[in-house]
Amino acid sequence: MDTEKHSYTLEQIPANRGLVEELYSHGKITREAREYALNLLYPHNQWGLWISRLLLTIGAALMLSGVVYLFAFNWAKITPAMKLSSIQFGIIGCLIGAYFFSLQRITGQVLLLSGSVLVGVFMAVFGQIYQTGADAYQLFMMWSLFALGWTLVSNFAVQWIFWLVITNIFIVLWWEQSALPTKEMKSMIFTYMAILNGSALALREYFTLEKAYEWLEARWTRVVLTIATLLIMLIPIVMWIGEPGRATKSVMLSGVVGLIGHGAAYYFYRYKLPDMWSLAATVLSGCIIVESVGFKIFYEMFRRTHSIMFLLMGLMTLGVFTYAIIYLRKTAKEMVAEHV
Amino acid sequence: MRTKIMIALSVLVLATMNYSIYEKEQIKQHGETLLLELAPVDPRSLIQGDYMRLRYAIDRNAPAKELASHQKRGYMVIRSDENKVAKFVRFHQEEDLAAGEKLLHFHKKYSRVQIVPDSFFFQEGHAKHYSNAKYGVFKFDASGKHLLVGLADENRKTIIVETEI
Repeated sequence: MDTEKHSYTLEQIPANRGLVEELYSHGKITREAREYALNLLYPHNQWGLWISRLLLTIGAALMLSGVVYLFAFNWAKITPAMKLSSIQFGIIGCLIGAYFFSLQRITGQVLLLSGSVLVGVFMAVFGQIYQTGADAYQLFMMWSLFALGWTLVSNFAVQWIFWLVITNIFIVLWWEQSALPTKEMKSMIFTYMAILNGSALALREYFTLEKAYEWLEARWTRVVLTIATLLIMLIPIVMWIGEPGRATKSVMLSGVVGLIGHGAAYYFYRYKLPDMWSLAATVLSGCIIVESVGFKIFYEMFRRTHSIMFLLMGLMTLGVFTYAIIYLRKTAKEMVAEHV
Repeated sequence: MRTKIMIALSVLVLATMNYSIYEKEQIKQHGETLLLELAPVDPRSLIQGDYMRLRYAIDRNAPAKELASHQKRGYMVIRSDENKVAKFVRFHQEEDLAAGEKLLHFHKKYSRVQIVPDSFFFQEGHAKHYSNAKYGVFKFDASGKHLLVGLADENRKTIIVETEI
């Protein structure tokens, strides 16, 4: 094990600010070397690029909101045919753009994503013109379906996250508007959503390990999916703790699924695919569960003496989060040691 | 290859979109007009933003107790009176319809019958024109598909908003 640990070559050690500073503070490199290395790692003109991208994003957002407002304020003056066809031309424009810029490049992928967003706009306008309002789940169902094919060929992580968001909305609306669950079964939605987003996360990890898709390897996809799945799993657990007497079967089942999910996330991101961000999110979510249990116990014990109740809650919060941070810091050090 | 799939999918998506427009337009143009009385909603001013919540008198008059408690959705039979206003006849149980009868889909929520759409969209600021609406104007095609095309006042005249240009 020990020899394995030291079998890394110099090239495999990622260079970063911390490493350079450490070498400098130990006197291994000179001040000039430090400056040179830092400038190489973080070019001084990087902020210019950042500003340029920020302005581009703000500009695009303002342009788009201008278009949205133009439509909103002139709603009744535009004929239905005009509304629907202009949106369709927008979609076609985006797709032609995606074709000419090719899906291999970010420009083409962003255009395809814009086309997919416009499909949603089309569905909303269609729903308004033909008054299909109440069945909003159908709107999101069609949107999710229409965008699915493009998403499959897009090879673009943002497009996938976008698709997952509308699919989640579809499932929630479908559950409430079409499945018409009984009160007992209502909270099953948390299980369904946990399965959907959890599977997306699992697939992401599987394909990344297989090195199947380069575009999937960006770390933010993991973080976003982990946080979303954890949140969905956290809600039924907290509901269950908050009012155990009124918890329905579906709350309990979703709570159990949530607890198993938290355990799995901890196990994977601590031991199998060490990742500080995801581990921290899991631990934070765990803290909220522990806090809820504590709050509930103190609340039941000291119903009449609020001062003692709040004092104990405060002390417990300090203790729980202090311990969590100490644990995370220790783990972060171990992870670095395991990897370099 | 991916590009080809993308193009094929795009054609499919656009075709579906335009077919659904065509379908709705057919009902709008050739459908039979039928009015559904709106139930007074308490409080009356349930106008929020740029749409209006609708409740129909037929929802209230339908004897929801007749339905089995587990039944969550189904069809009711309606018939239009001399003023083209739809009246509840009975809940549909697979039987054949008499002439002039139509089916209306409903779902049941908390032992109350509801028909869709239960909202009406209009441009922001036009709420005052619709506040005295008494009827929902529907178009029915031969197969029973229906479309809410507007609201009508107590004289059963469709409310048309004149936009000042």
